[in-house]
Amino acid sequence: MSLLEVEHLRIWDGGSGAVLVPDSSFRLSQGECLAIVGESGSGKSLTCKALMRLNRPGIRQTGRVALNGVDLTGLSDKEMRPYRGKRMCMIMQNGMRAFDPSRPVGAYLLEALSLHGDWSRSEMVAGLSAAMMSVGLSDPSAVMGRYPHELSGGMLQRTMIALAIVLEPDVIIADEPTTALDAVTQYEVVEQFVALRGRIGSAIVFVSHDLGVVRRIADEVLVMKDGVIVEQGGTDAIFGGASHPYTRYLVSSKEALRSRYLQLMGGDAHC
Amino acid sequence: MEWNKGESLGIIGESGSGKSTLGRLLLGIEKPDEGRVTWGGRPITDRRARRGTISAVFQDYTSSIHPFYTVRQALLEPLKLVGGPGDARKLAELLRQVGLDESYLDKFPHELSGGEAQRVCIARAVSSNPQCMLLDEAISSLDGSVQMQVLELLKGLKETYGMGYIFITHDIMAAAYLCDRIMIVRNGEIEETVETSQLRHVKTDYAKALLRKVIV
Repeated sequence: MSLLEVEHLRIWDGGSGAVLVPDSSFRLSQGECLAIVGESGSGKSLTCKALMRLNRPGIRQTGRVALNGVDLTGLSDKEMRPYRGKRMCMIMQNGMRAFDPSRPVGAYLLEALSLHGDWSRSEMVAGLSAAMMSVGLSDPSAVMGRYPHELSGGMLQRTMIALAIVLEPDVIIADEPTTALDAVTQYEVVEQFVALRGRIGSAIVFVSHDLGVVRRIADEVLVMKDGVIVEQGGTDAIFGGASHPYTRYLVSSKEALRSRYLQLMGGDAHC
Repeated sequence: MEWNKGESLGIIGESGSGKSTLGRLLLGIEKPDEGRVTWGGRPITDRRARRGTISAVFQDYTSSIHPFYTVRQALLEPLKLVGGPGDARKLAELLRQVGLDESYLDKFPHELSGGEAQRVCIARAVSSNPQCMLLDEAISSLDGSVQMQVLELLKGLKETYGMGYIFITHDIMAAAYLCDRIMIVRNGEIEETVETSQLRHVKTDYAKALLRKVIV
């Protein structure tokens, strides 16, 4: 039995009846990093949110989503709540939108922790501070006292990663975590994710349209187009010699850009 | 800094480095506290200096076109200002130059995909025959394959019409692909300027560190 099993996931718009994801099936093993790649409209975000049943109310879903054998789709909202955060944790694209803008970041972090564990307040603060230091936030108490709009995109991402480190969920779902960041910060946050894999045993579902990032971090890749998984496989296989024409198209589309850059930098580019 | 006719200059830097502010100063939509920006010897604040000289394409295509305007009206807007021909033939030609066609003329911005909307913005920028097009993170919000298509389009315009660019971005690979010269900005200052062909030989530690962080 895999850690996470998704079988015949079907997602549609309850209002219009339009089918967004017709039939998706995939698995995630313990400690594995699965990337979901695709362009806008491919259904990757919908799929992620469906795993945690967090799509907006008008969006309906059927299919089996089993975490350690327990089918989450059969749970009531109340039964689902302990799963979100402690067992499955989501890191989102736009840090600003993930946090309550009217409260300092620390308030949100402590509330999230208190929902999922029995720590005392001082234990929570200590755990968070240690985690934040480890992701490069060198002044944790200052960060915790700030409002979300006072922190940069990169700092918000690191804060969410720190929370994941403390929660140690079974599955971390990262939905385009680096897309809204500039190139340097992207690099640094990707390195944080790579380090995270070494630190805690969580499996990661990593959604991105950036193949360079995927190449760096993923073990397995799902390629989605128009709601359909067109190809799945190991990262090397997908980037080396994928069979589906759409995958080949995605991989090759930025090839001109890469090869020009590699040519300019000689052998000095960081791959 | 300088920009020379026909040149494709990249301005790269991290967020908060001041590159977008610099872009707005070069366009004349923001005034410097000290110093001058001149085009062909005339200050940018002089309307005559701006006409036919420089136009711009910004990152957020969803807010760059009036939502109540059709593509036709959006393209006609700058043409009215420079007094150019606003006939159907000219509009069709503009759209063809950016890889679209006349069928787009009656569409509204919300009916366009990201790539299509940005192409319309480029067509609009080209319509006044500027010497220079300033692009501020114009491809960052687009999907990867669409980014590539737009870069090829810009390259094509450069080769066919001698269009010059000031290409502001954090994406170093994109700048290296399109630009002849690259200026690295940090904390509001110019850190280093280098010919793209010499990118490997940047001198400052900051520039070297920046290049090491490119995810290829």
